Amino acid sequence: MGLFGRKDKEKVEVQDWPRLSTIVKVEESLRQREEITPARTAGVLYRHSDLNPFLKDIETNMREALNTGEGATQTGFRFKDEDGGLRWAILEDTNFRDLASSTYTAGNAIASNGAKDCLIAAVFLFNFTHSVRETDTRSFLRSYWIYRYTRHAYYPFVPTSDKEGDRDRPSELELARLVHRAGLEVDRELEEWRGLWGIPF
Amino acid sequence: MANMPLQFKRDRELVMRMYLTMFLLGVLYAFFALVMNVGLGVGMVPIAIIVGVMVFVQYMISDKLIIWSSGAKVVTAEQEPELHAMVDRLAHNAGMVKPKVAIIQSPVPNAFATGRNPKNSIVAVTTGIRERLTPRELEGVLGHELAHVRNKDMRVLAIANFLVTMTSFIMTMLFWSMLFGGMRREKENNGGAMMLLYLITVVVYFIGQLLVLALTRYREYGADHSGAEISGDPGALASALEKISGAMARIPEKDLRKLQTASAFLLIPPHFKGDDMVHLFSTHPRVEDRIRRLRELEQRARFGVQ
Repeated sequence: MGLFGRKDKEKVEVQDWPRLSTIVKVEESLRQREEITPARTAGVLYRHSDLNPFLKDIETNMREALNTGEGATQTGFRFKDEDGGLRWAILEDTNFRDLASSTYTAGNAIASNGAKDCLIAAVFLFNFTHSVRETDTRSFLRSYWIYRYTRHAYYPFVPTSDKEGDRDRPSELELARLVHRAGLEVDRELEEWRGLWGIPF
Repeated sequence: MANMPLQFKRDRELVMRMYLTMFLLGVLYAFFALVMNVGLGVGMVPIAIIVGVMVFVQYMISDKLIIWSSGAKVVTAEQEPELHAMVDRLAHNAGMVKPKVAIIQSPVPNAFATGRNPKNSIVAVTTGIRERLTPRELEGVLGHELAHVRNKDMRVLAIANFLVTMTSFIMTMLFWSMLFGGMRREKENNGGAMMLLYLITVVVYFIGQLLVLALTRYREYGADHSGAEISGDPGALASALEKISGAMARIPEKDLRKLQTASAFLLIPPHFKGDDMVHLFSTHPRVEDRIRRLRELEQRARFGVQ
């Protein structure tokens, strides 16, 4: 069993998984109703630091955490650096349950190796097959579901460009209603719905 | 108090504050009258004249008071050419005199029109609303404000408020007169009648308040409708309302990355209040209703349905 395999998650961090995993059921129900295309991409944003041994050798450590041992998944991953010392771990899996589990495991591996304060957010990409507003005739809506580790809840993010502040608030509110009804743990403090402009997936 | 804020958010609070102001003004006038009557022995007729003059002056300078209290700064066409061009165009469409244009330094998105008649009117927008809205949406908002000016809503509201103030004045006078037996009347003879009169005034006062509330609401819908005619784009105001009303205004502009300092993790864990549930899952019903009506207008305009 890998050091950071899924079996470990209940021992190390009990709070995040029950809340983070609510997205699995939601994805399944939305996909079955053909409201979204199958979701297969997620990311974990964290502040990188070579001073932390785990982060310094994150590629090997992440492979061990995700792809080896009893709880292993086939989740693929890559890293993408951002300005300001931030780094994305981008995860892909055709099985959404495994994707969510691996996303949790990736965050948990970082947190349980002395870098809890470096974790910023986990993000899932949902592509809706319809717009959620009457006046919007688009047949496609790219939405991100941001899970903030400090708040243990999700919120929607629909950027309209890469410029800070450009977001489709009406659609976000509609999506929040829709997805809350489907069972997602949505952050109710709207002031905390901070965007992440320029997500690389 | 002849102003007509756009009332995007906390509309009920604003209306309540307005009533409280009217009520307190009535109490103030009553107190003033009582001091003159009991303390200085001035007769009721001169008092009525003095109070009348005071109310008139208040009405005449109300726009200046509002400008002064809101911190709005009147700007020239040289200072704000785009904003002026917009108001120019809208005033032309509306067939009215162009009002003065003012800006309020505030991050809260809002706009209002004020002035007792179109000649003396001012439209003001906050810096916050200019940052949030596209030019098209801002034009929708300004159309709504110009409609208030053209419909003489400020005057209508001022008269309605004057009546509420006067009722509050009479109510307070009657109350004090019963309490102290003042106003130099013989209380033995008319105590019961005075009590009845007081109760009637109280009822009139509260009915008056409800009527002003209904009137304000009605004028607001009216301004939405004629504002859409003035701007020629009902969807613009609908979209502006969607963007800056209630729930929408609470969604932040800032990037999450900027929040990531060490102290951010020491914050108290979030507590979910029942109240937030209401905020998230129901935007202000009245704003929603306004948006719905504007969208209907938009559909009619677009597809030519009468």
